[in-house]
Amino acid sequence: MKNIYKYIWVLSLVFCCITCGKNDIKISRTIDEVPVIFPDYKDVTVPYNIAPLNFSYMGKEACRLIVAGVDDEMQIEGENGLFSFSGSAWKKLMERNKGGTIELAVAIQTGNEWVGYKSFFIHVAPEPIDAYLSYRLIPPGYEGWKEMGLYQRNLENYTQTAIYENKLTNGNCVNCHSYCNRNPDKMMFHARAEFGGTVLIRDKVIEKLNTKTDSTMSALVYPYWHPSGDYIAFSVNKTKQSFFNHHPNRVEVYDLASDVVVYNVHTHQITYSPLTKSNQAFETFPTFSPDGRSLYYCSAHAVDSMPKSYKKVKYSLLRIDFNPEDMTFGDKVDTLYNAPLNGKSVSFPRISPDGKFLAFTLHEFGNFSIWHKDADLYMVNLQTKQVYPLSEANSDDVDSYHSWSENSRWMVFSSRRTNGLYTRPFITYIDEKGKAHKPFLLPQENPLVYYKQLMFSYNIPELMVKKVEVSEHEIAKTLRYSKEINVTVK
Amino acid sequence: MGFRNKNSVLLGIGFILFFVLGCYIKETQQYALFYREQQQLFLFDLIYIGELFRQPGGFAILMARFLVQFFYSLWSSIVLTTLLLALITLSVWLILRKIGDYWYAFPLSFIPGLFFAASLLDNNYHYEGVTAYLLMLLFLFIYSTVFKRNKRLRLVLGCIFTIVLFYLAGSVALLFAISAFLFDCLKKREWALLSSLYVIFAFAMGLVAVQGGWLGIYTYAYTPLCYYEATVTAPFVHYIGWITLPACMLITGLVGYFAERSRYLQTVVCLVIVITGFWSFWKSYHLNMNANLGAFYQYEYYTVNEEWDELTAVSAKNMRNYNGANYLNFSLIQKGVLAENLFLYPQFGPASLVYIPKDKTPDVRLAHVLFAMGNMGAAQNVAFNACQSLNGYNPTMLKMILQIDLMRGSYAVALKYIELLEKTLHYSEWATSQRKFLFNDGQVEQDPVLGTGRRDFPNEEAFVLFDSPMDDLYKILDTNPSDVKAMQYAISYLLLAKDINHTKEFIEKYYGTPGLKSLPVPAQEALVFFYDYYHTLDEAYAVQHGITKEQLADYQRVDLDYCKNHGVTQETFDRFAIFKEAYGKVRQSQSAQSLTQYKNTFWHYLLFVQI
Repeated sequence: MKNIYKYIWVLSLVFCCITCGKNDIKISRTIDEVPVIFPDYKDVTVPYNIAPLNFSYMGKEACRLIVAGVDDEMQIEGENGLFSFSGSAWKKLMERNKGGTIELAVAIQTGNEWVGYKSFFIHVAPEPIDAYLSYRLIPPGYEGWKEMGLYQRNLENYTQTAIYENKLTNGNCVNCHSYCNRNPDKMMFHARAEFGGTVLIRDKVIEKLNTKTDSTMSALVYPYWHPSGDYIAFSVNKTKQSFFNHHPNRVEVYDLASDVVVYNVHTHQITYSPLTKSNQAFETFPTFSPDGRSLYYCSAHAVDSMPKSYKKVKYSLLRIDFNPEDMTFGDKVDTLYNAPLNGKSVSFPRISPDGKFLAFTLHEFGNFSIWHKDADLYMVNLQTKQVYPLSEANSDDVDSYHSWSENSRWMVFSSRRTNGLYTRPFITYIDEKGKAHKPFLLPQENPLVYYKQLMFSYNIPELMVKKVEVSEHEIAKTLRYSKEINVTVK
Repeated sequence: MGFRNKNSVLLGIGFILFFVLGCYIKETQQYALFYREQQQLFLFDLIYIGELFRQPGGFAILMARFLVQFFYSLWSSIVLTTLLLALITLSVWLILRKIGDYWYAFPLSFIPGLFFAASLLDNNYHYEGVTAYLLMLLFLFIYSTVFKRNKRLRLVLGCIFTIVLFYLAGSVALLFAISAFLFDCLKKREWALLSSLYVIFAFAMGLVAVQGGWLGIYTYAYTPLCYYEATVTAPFVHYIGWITLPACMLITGLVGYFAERSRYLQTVVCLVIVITGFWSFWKSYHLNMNANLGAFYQYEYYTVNEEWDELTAVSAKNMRNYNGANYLNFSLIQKGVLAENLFLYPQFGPASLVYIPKDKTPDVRLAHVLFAMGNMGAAQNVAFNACQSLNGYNPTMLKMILQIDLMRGSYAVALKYIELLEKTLHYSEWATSQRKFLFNDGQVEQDPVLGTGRRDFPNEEAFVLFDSPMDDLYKILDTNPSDVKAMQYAISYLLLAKDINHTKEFIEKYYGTPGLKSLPVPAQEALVFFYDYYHTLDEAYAVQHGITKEQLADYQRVDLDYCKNHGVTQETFDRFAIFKEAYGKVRQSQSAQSLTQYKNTFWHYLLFVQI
């Protein structure tokens, strides 16, 4: 027995020597420059439960990171420029500095001395972010794909698992994943082409729906769950895409016609209001208010000569009453953002779960903002009706699809700011006044290498309070073999 | 015959047969093998290798992709594939020999390998089908060799092999399990019946793979469909390579049974089996051979390697469809003689230049043509779609996308593709050579390809391929009239459309510009025809057909001097005079025979070719 203790003691000593063997450095002098790092985590605000924000110093020199929190300091040696936090040290750091700030200083070795860059800060918000993020990974293209899938990422570490991959159904297209109140117990997505249909999952019961009806122009497209879980608002769209000869946007995706309808998950019926299904307008991107009594959507005056007049299509932000008791609509429409008046076009209205703010994407024209370099995030304060840009979150490139966290303090959104084509998810803190703080790129174990090598775009990032538990096999089985439930019109 | 002699004879026969097989592969599928290389990228990158290795069947994929990366050279594709099939045959022979050392059964061992050669004719059959099979044979050979006396260890080894093989190579694990079980039975090994456990293990692994979401359906877990493109229905030939292994083992066992009774009967059985095997192979080869696809692979080989004379020769010989015509004209544009030599070859309208199918998704041909036309927006779209190929990325399409991103000034994205290609063996040097263009507009503009491409981006914003490719060409030439290729494509397009009015306008606008310093002979022929046609057109007839008097007067402005000032030579006038006379006679005699000497002219195309 004595020998075993001796053995353990020696091992512990060796371990300590390995881990603590390098002496902490002392900075001889500092320079008045900020280091170039990737991702740019300088002065970002993060939730305390986020995975470690590893990053790379982009210079070639030997480097150290000195991290100072409220009551402790640690040093991390850069490996090929990469600073990797240990999971436990990071967790401790976040817990101790919740609501505060940590200071980070990058030091580089020049000759025998260590020179420090100007330090920067990471603000640790006291509010957590939802534990999971789901998204589709697709080639950032045009019409072709080979592999694509819906994935979920544990935001508290780096684990990514598949919700569904198209390899299980002969490489078909899967899209428009959506969850009721960010809870994947009630979720849906569409499968197109082979084994096509809408997959609707409620408490692990999977249905395959045929959502094309004689009264609607297409199968159901862009979804949003009613907070009760009884309904899903959808748009129906005749969508086309064309390619520019030289425009930096490269592609324009546009509707020739579109409407908004509401689907009842119990009766498998859809209904609509003449105000949301008009021949004089293109209605799309529906979203319910958190109390379930309002339906917000985008609407543009219908244009005949599409796509030649694609620039004339500008979507306003509208609201109509919805009565969940009998699935009926109000008889008047409110306008929150008037496109003809203001000259721009609205996409993806999303209301914070506390009902105070409505975030949307604003761009020059059309509705498919991911291909619009000018697309930016905007906010409506629903109490004051004030509309303003989320300047801290926006960039010179595309900033588009967004999703709120359960506590209304975090918003994840798609951005092409890193290279102009491959969409990446950024997370921004929204304070109580509805102001965005500088966003941070979704953390990875080695973000520089990971994002360099990833040949897919993150599409439709959606925050989730927990993991999707339904097996891929069950979904594939339903898509392949289950009889479709035909959706009808009420 | 002594043991050494017998083996030497078999070895000699083996070498001869593999030389023949190599010749067969060279003749039938060297270009198809080359195109396999165009459907993947093998990266010397630990993350890439790790990701492949983590998926079931990943090691077989890794082996296949590693080998296929060398197929850019026709010779290495032939040698490596022949070697792989030879190893399969050798392994089968070594296993059969353990069942019964009857050299009459030697030809049997060729049959599985031959059917894999037939399977490889089908590009939807993944190369990992062959590497997985070889891996399985290796496991089976080891299994048949070790633990001959220790039945327990043998059983454990068989189970482990089944599981490991499923993970490394996919569904061949079931074939291994069946074959190992059969081997034990034929060899009457102790506890042979317990070897059926392997089959149960293989089925269990399949169950885990499907339930775990690694594979879509059980068919992929238990059949050769694991190695076949999911969206296409696999022909039966791909099953034969599998079926023939246990069949050969059974037959070898039976041959042994006959050998004990009659040597004559043994020979007959062997002959019948071998002849049937080779006959089935021959049949399957013919069923699998797709002449159009074979030609396409060849066109792509010459295109990727920029062997334009060879491309002209093969595509001109074999103009079955618009694809062939597009490659032919593409080779002419690369040599700078498209407009001049346009009617030296059969043409069938503007689609002979650029054929746009409804589903242009995986169309590398269209991407090449659009790129040559200077239609970079359209080329990038088509190339991006074509890039998402069988096993990841089509390197030629990726290079094209990269170049267009450099032209656009999208340097961050271009850098991403450069870094990807730098991880390959064959393309890394080229990729590194592109680094000098990053964030350096001056270098891009000076480069002949990138500079021309950048200048081709039209000033007028529009969607590409919206009406006709000619609309895009007009916009390109408005911006960059010095792009000779775009100029030649445009004038050829108008000639093939038999649109003499627009041809005349085009010549009027562009003749004398850097892209059209001299007028190609077919364009001269069109201009002379225009002049003659409107000068001899009856005014009443013209008005009746929608031409106003003012228009006619304007057309008649084109006179001899106009033609001469726009590049028409006296020789063209002279030829036209003779042609016109001959045509007049033809109209009276109703026979076009005497005009065959004009079949290489625009006039003949205009009057006699239906489009």
